[in-house]
Amino acid sequence: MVFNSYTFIAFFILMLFLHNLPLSWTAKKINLLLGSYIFYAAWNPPFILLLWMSTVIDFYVGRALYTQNNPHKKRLLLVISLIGNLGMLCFFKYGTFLLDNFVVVTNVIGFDFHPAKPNIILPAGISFYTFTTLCYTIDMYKKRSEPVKSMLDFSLFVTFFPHLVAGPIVRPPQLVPQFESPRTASRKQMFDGLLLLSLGLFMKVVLADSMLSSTADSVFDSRDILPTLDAWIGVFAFSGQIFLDFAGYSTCAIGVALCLGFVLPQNFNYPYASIGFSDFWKRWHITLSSWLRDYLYIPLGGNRHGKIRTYFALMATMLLGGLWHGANWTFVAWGGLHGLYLWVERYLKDRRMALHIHKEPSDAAEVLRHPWIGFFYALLTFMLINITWVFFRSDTFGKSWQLLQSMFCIADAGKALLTTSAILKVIIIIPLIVIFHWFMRNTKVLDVAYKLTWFWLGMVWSVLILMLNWAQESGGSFIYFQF
Amino acid sequence: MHAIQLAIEGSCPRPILEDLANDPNFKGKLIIDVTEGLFFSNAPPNQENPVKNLKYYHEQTPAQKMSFILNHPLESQFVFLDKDHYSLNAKLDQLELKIRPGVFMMPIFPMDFERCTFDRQMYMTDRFVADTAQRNKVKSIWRFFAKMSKLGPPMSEKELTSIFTSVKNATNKIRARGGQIVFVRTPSSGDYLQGERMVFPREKYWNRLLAETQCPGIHFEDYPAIDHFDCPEFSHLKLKDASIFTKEFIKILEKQKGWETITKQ
Repeated sequence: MVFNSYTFIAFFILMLFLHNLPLSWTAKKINLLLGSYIFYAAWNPPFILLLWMSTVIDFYVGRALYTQNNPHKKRLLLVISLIGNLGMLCFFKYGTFLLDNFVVVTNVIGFDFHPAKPNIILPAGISFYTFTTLCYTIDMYKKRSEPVKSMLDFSLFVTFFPHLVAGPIVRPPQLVPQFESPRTASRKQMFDGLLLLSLGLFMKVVLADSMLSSTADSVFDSRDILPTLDAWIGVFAFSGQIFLDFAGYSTCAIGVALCLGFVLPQNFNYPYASIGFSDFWKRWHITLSSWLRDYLYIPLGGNRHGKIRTYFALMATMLLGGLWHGANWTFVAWGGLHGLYLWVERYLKDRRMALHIHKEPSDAAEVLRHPWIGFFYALLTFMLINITWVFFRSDTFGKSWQLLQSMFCIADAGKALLTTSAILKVIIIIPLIVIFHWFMRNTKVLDVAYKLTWFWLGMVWSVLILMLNWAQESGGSFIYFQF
Repeated sequence: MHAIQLAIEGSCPRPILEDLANDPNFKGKLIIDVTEGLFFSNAPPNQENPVKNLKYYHEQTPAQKMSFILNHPLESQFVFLDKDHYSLNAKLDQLELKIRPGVFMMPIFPMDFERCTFDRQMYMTDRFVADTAQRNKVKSIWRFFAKMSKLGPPMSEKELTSIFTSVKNATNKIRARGGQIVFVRTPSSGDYLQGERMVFPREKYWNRLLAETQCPGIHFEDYPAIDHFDCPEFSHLKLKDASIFTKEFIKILEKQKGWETITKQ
């Protein structure tokens, strides 16, 4: 179920009610676990089995990994966990993609192979909960933390409904200790949680769905070359939509968890005010990028084994990070482009260090001294990121190239597509987002909220709710549910 | 037993007919309206909503079904904003900002033209019927759509034949299971009717449809009880006339087409 639906409102009220009853802590955790399974089953009931399988395998394998001292057996257990988790992910998410590419390769080398198209349904959130359980087993292998003592706590860690289908991707030490002692939301947490839930829904429903999605869809679904204005407006619309949709979901998830007394990690930190691409990946989908850093980039060598290995590790991480988003080479290209940006950035940084120039535009003090330079670099970063979104959103490279041609006037200008209203919405909302991010880049929304008087906070909150009611047209799902 | 409204305004009914034909459980009575410009259209915009709605119907999740169940009592007790006219986007569209040359923008129908009841019955208000300006606005929208349809190449005979074949196959499937189908050509009037007669001559479309499908049909021009209505904007009946038409239509179905009585809603 999605957060912007009657079903979720009814479900959430029920969960809050049950969680605040005078029951034992174990009973409350069981309620949360059953509620989480119902939350997931509301998409497609049979896929609960996958969740159970992932949970049971990794609970017992994780415990065995921690206690096993024989390195061969330990490695075997890790392989079992990796095959179980990644195998499931590969089958459901990449099965058709792998088969299609296999067919292309066989046909190229001369074999006439045309298998029947499999009809594999992608379970919601599989990429997210698979990564959640994987990080547990890898942590157990490396003994980074203690094994979870009870199956109930582990199941709840994997399945906890606020983060289940689209993150934030939570590490065991971030969430499991919170299950060990009874907790309900304090008054402040309830207040903060409801505010974040309102804000998240506003971002998703009002801005992403109502104001930007149709413009982005029109441009990206067009089969024709477009005028430069229309092309850029469509790309800007998508850049706003993807951020507002996904950050809106994360904000809702954090808010919902807070209403129950649990704290989930931050997932976005005003990424469109990033200065450079290293900064971007510390602000965009923070839990995924830190997962990739800790479980992919560093094991591949990180920056500890010389420049060549560093560049390789960077690119491999970004390519695989791209592939994680979807079974299409365009996602890989998106990741690869980010890898290229990171390469260039690293090269320039290494050159500056070699020439003993220690100033970096990402240095906070430097930004404060020359805020306009920092803002210029942030704008440049934002524009370059917009180019990557072309690959992320397009179905095919043909469509990506067509849109790039339109954006950079490489082809003859096409027929105008977008209405004046669509253009105005984008040119008002996107700059406001960028400016808002710039002023908020070193603070948090709740800190700002607490600085407001009750009158102004009430006004802002009321506007969020009223706009939500005014703009809601249908219960559209969140973009990252498909990953 | 009661009638269920499956029609979606401004759209081609053929995707829904195909879906019912492919549903082995459907063997009931089906009344299919034939507005030639929509029924015989392959233009994607005319099929978009039926296709989207069918996809939703077949793929809706348990959560979506539950939301619908929860929505039902809420909508029957509370006043909700009409999203087509009062949502944020609708209000922004009503500003009618200057259109860029060559950009298509869906015309905005007056709110009083298309009110919808809880049972999905659409009607035009008395205020609309009495307001010449609003009626003329809708007439101008029909002229706009007619002009748009002339921009593309005319439908080839091959394409038209394939439409008749697909409709025939669909109706055959339903009738083979014991279902009953009747086609109905509802009233239009004035310039619109003149245009329809010219572009969709009866012999080539309506008569051929009945001949190929072997299904009964009720054309408003063939029955004195329903051939005299004056449509306020040329294409739809006002509420009072719609009630009269429906009663007469049922009498024709019962007495002349042998259908059993349909329970009043």
